Amino acid sequence: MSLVKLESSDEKVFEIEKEIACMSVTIKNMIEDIGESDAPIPLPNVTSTILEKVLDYCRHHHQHPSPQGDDKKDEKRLDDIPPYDRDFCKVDQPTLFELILAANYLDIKPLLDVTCKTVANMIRGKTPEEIRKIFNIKNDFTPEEEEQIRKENEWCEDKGGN
Amino acid sequence: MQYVNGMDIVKSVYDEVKYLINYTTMPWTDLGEYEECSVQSIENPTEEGLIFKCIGEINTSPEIPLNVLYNANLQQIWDELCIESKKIEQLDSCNSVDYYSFGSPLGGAPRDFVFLRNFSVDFENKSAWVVIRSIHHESIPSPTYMKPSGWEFLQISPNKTRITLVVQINDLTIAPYLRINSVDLKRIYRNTGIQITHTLPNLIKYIKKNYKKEIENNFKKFKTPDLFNPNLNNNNNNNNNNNNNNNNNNNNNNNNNNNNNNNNQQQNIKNSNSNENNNNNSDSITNSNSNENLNEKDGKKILLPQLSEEFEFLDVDEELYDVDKTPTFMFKETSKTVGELEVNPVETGWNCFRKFNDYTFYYRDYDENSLDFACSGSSFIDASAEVIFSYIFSEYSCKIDQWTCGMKTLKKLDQVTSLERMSFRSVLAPKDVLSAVLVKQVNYFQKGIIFLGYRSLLKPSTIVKTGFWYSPSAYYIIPQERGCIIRYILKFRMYLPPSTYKIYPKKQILYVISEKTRATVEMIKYYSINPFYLHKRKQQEFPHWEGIDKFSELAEIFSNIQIRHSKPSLIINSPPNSNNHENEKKRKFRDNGINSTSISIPSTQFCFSSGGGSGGSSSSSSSTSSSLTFSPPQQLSSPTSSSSSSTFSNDSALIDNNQQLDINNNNDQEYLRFSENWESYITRKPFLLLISSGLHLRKPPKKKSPRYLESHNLKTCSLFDLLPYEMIQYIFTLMDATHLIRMSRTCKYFNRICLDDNIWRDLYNREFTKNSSDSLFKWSSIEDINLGTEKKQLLDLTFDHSKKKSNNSSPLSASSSSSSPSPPLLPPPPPPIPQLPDMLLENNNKYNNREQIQKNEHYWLNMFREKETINRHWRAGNGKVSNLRGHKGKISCLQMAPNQIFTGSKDKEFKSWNIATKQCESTTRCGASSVISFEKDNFTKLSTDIFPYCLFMHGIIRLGCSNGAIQHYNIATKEIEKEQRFLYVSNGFIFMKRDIYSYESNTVKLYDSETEQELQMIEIENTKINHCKIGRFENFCMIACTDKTVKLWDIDSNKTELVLNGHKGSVNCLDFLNDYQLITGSSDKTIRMWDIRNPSSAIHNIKSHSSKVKAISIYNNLRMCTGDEDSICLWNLEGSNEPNLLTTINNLSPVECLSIDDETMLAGFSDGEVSYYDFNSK
Repeated sequence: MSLVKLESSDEKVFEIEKEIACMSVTIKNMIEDIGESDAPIPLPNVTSTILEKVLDYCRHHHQHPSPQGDDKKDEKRLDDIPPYDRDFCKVDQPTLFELILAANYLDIKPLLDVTCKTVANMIRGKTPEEIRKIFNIKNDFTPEEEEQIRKENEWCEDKGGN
Repeated sequence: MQYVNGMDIVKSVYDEVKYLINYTTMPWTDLGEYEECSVQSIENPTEEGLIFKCIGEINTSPEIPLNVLYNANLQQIWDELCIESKKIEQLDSCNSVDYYSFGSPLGGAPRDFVFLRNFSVDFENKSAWVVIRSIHHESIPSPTYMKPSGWEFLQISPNKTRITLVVQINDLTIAPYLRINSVDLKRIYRNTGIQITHTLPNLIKYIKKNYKKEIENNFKKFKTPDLFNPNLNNNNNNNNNNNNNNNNNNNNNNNNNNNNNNNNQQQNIKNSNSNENNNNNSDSITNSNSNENLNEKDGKKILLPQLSEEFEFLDVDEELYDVDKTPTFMFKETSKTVGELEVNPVETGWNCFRKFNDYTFYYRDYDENSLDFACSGSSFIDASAEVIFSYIFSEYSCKIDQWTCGMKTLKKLDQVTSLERMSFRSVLAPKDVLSAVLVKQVNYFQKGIIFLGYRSLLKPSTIVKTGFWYSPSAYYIIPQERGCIIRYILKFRMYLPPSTYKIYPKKQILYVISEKTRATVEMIKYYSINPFYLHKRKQQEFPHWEGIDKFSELAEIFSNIQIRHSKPSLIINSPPNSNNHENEKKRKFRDNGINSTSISIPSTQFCFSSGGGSGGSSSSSSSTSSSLTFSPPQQLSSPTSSSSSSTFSNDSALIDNNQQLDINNNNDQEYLRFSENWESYITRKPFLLLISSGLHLRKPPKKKSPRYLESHNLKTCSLFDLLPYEMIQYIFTLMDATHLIRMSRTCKYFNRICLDDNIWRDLYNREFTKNSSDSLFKWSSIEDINLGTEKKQLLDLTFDHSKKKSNNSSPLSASSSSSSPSPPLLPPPPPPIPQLPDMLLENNNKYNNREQIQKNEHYWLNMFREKETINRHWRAGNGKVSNLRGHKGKISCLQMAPNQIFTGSKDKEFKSWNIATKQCESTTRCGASSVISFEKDNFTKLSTDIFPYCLFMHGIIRLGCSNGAIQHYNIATKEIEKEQRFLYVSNGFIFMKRDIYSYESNTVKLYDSETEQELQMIEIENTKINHCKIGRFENFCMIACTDKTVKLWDIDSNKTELVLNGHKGSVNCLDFLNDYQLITGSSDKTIRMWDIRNPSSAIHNIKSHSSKVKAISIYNNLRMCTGDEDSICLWNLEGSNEPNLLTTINNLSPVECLSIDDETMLAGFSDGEVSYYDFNSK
């Protein structure tokens, strides 16, 4: 097995199999462009902590590939996250958002979907005020604006939806 | 104030002046030309005021005018308006501090300036520069400020120079400094640049006149620059000559003083001119003497007065030197007087004792025996300048002023200066005729301004002899658009010994004199306006001298006006004394001057002489001492005081001469050369300047352009700020509509992202477009609904009438009668109008509408909202109910069209209704039979029908009647066009293109509508047929029977293929769910779902109804409604799963038929009512 070296933003080098690293489209394109060499591939937008977690995710899914879903409509479902992925995303919010950024930069779609669905699931079943508390969002509406928006969206709320 | 580095000031002023002169693209306004010099002006862009530019040319090298300006003392000679100019301090060869005082050609107060002047030569560009800036100096208390100004001398050719003068004047300086606020005078200043337009022409005239020799020398010097030194030697020789002249003229002190002032070549030239004038004067005196000799041939006694006159003219020789200093010396002297009176009269000793309309009168004590009188004012005369001028100091003076005997021009010295003899009477001695010789100057300034100045020829010390002395006085005539402004500064000194005050108070004398002066000016006004004013004697301004014998009479007249009673009594008490005094005065006068025994003879002679034409416009007084014993001592004392004042003036003159000599010496040593190595002949050294940091030095700050506020970064103050916009949007696409709306309510940033239409489009497609094969058509239908909804909302009308209870409950029954088909008696019917073109047309319209709608904001959000609203209303059964009333029998069939509803009834009527107004539009009676079916009514809807509406606006539908007749009904014209009849009884029809199915009793038959032939027939034993439905593939028919079964009829083989058993009651209605599944309703109050591929038992058996199920309708495999005898149930369908009951709507009559589409439901009842449920509005 050929190995590739990845260097994080804080200059830590990680060695990993090429097949596992190529789950990242970004890394795959870099290897194809540069060619195989012993020089580490710099990843300036990813810290070592996050890069380590990302590589763990890639190793697991390389060993246990998930079955391909034929129906693309299920792509938007939020209740079909596998158990390993669900546990993988049980981290604090800053780490979760950093993982989203890393998945976006490295172009690892399965990881991106899992992390984004996790954020979406954190919002399910919550009222606007609860959503603000969970993510520490600042409410910059005036009371009049807030009441007006609530009335405009009554069509979408069941009883007790507030 | 503070001292600053002078070189920095010079540099900034130089740059500014150079910019003003060289930057020719500025929008200068041309003011015209004055003496071959063009004048331009421009508004000062940085502060209020104007910038004036004056351009002229001269045929000399730049060196000449540069050095004329270099000598500051010269400007008071060559500049008409410069009253005084002198050098205060010479900082180095190129920088000096100079004092200037300029008079106003409009009679304003003179202004003092202290200038820093810098001289430089730019030989590469063939130009020389003089830049000027106002500064402060300890020796001058309050100078006027002027912004940087300057001169440029540009060499156009070796002997030709273009001179440009630029001056910046602010509004405060532009306005004439007068106590009188005159807008017209200020406008003249602004529109003409009169303040500076005299300077350049005066400089050019001066150089042309006095530097002819210099021009020749310059020509030589141009070829051989070394000749400059001989010129300097020549100047030194000139100075030596001047010194020699001084020595030669030791006998004449006055001449010495004058010569001391003439220290350069120009003054020598003037001296020679003066000598010539003296010769001319001698000739004129001789001529006058000859004339008088010829006139007077009587005794020698008469010649004595002529000799005295000749004696007076001998004095002229001494005074002429002052006369010929400059053409505007009278103007300058008068300007000083204006400054004394207008600016600060108290400091100069003047007392303002009277103000009357436009006149202000002043006086001050000169010494114990004399006082000065002055009058200042201005007024408007509606007459031309020429007319006004003709009445001032002219041959017409005696006409406007009886106290002036005549005015005669003795000698015209030059174009400006002349000598005048004036004969007049004094208010103090009306009977006496006096005369004076005046020097008169007339200057013509810009814009037709005339300055007329005069003063006595003799020195002030001679007041003892004549009793009066005219100080420099003037009239200014300033033309306006209409009429003129006349300004007058009149001043004289008169001899009033203290003894005079014992008889008449000083104030009274001054009052009468002021009144006389005012009258003179007023008469000038009246005669200028109306030459025939003389005839109006009643309006006399001042009493005629003929009626006045003594000053006391004048005093009495004006004292009566003033209502002073004490004065008349005083006069009455002492009339003899006054008479005696006057008599004594007269005797002494004659004893001193004339040896004659008869009083009448001299008076007669004097009158005859005055008749010759001479007089004056002002009056003065003369008198001698009151007693013989005191006369000699007083006369002696007067010369003493005169000589003492003369001594003082001589001393000051000497001091001034010394200073001027020093300055001239310095100037002689310094001479600026116009050459490449000019700097080697000068010396430079640093210097400090006293600068005031006043407001006028600061430029007004420019208005700052308003800055656009930076757009505030809309953020959430949370970890979401780490993610880019696209990432947040992707997360939001994973949510459903409810949570998306909640997220949009958290903050403004998320409100914007959550309302993005891309997110809602995906949501809509996921939620409402599950059958992808129909997406195109579904989209079109949704669009059409959206448009239709808007129309409905606008036109919808509600009815509040309560439902009528109807007891009609006619059961479904049909008479069973059958007859064998007979050959048709009618011709074959024409084929129906094809509907395909209409469909294509409507499709095109829909696509066009789609493009328009797509441009709206939040289009997909609104679409989603509408669908969701319908779903919620459907689930809750909250549709808006409208009742269509009109039918009187059971409703047998109904269907919806885009804008209409069609219903058929047992009452033998077929009606069309307007959906918006819920009103019946038309009613068609179908003969004597009930309407039991029509084309594409609720019973015949199949899943293969793509469009939700089975009917279109244009076309023909077929109506089936219970007597077997088939009516062809035109939807557009609402008329029956044709009737077919090939059977005679029916319980129901199914129209499918050419195939017509009819069922009755236990038989189902298939006919061809064109040939009217029976194609197939099946008979079911031991039962009656309730309802039929044709399958998708049109090769089988489902038959609902009263024997509790549903039978499948294979039309091709004409056999019953299978039977669906399960219901415990009669099967009343059925409808297809998809190609192989159907749902049936039965009298056993149940609904069952079947699959014909597994007919052994029902898939689902639903027990929700409480009475017999009589009607059923399914829409798009998603929704279903079922009706029984007292309610309507609403269901959700989910494939093969058990239908989900949503809600139940109660009604009063049994439901006979139902029809449902995307957002509406139509129900027909047995009592003839029709209910329309709109789930898109609440």
